[in-house]
Amino acid sequence: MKEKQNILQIVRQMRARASAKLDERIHREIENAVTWPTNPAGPELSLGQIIALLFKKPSARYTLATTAALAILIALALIHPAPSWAMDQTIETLKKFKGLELSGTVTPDARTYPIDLWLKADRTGDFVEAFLANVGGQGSEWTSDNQTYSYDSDDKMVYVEPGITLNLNPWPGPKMLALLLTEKSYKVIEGYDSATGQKRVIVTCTSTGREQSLLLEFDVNTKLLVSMKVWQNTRQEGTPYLNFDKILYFDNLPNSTFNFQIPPGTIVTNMPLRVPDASLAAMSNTDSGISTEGMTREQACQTIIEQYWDANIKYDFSAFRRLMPTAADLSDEFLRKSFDLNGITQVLKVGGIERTGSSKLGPLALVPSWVRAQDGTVTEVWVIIQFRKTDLGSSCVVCDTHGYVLNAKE
Amino acid sequence: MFKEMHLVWRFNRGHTEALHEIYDLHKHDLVTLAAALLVDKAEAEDVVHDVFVGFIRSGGRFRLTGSLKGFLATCVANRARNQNKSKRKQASDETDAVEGAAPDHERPDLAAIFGEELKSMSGALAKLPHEQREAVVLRLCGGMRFHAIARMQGVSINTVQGRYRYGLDKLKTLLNGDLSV
Repeated sequence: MKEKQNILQIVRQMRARASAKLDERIHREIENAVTWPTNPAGPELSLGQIIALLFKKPSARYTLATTAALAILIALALIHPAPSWAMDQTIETLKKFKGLELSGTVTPDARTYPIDLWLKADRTGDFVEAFLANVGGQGSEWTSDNQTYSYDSDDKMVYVEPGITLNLNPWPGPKMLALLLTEKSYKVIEGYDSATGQKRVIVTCTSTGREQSLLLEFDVNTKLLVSMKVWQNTRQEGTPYLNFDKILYFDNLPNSTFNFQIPPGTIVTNMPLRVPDASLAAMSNTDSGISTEGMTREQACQTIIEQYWDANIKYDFSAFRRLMPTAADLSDEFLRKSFDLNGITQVLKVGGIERTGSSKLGPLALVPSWVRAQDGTVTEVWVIIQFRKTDLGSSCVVCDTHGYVLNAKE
Repeated sequence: MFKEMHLVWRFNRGHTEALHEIYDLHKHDLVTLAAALLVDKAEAEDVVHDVFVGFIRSGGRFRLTGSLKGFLATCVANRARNQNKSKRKQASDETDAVEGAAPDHERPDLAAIFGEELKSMSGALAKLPHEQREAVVLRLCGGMRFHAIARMQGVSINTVQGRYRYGLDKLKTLLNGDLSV
């Protein structure tokens, strides 16, 4: 006797598989699709997007250090110094805090999701050492044992990547605010919170280059940032893309804060190694990279990564751009700021290929390297290498960095 | 949902690899849904193909308001519905031609679509009136909510729940009655 419950189960079990022919048809349609004109793909993400979606492009961009969003801040910082008493005091106050909890909402499309983000800074206060993020109770990302995990509750899958891949450096603290202070469109408005009567300072700034505007609210008494809004337009119009209305500061956060209990039945798997399609054009430039003729892939990785760090240490911007063509558009000023922030003085070791993948250009390799900073600390940084075959023969380029481990063992 | 947001974000910014990923993630579910609604694998694949072509064209302006799987399932269901409607219309227009055609539940390829062990169930599903089959399949294979199915069918939620209940009861009867399914 078939019971209704059984029937429900059987219907749910019904499974027709897509044929190879359909796969081929659709993959071909995708490949042939004309690239849509709006929001062209790019290796960069804005700060709001990074925080909100916790989206990890194949770059934690440790080397370049600052995020693309911060790039605008840095770039503008160079041309318009405009100090503010409130921000200076805030910067000073923030120096003692190494833990942050930000809660609010993110509106990536038409729908708004709650977001909670816990961050821990390293001892220098410049880099994110650990994080845990929950987006709408639907997914989470966190760090554990120097790896980054992404949990998708719908698919019951956890994707693992080596290193800390949250692209949010420098740490949203004094250094970031110091950059903000010199933002060209930086404006300060004083007022009172109508609910509490407390004196507030509102700071607004706009990034015309990136279609992004920010509104930051500071408490005058505590000097702390109490709310933050990010719009994906320069006019602060519409629902903010990101709206953190609760920001809590901690001297530090215990490691247990970043624990995430993976639900039973979840499949844990490696995050596939990929690069953005938008990087491919830059990486196919035959003037970039090094020849790999006569070398094994391991040897090629070793060689190009050593040269890459050497260019970083020597502030050799043209060599850096040649080795990493995805940085070709970055200005000398931006690279200088990034290299300053990293303060790399020595490359200690380049490891073997740990993960592989492929792009339309050819094979990809993820390779760890160990570098020493000015303060003596050692950081392990993963680098993605793209191999390609051109008319000039086999060669490879650095695609980007991808994740880091602070205070690594030599 | 998190992963879907991420994929849609990338898709809208021109990362074609996100599209490949979206397709690979949902293809079997969508083909299953279409095949259960149309009882024809080739037609089901055509429907999924057309849905994806439409989806690709929305790149750069696509706004996700619910789950991506739900959105794609609704597109597939709508197209399957149109397909079924035109088939029924064609059937009534071309009576002669239809007289020789096998009704859905007699289709020989049911086992080929869903496998031998589910042949009985797929056969029974094919015997349901179209609206009931749609309600059962969209709910159980498509994971759609009743209110979404109601909106799609243009009826009240009570009607959809009724169709779903009647559909399940009929399936139970068909499977227990040793009918030639």
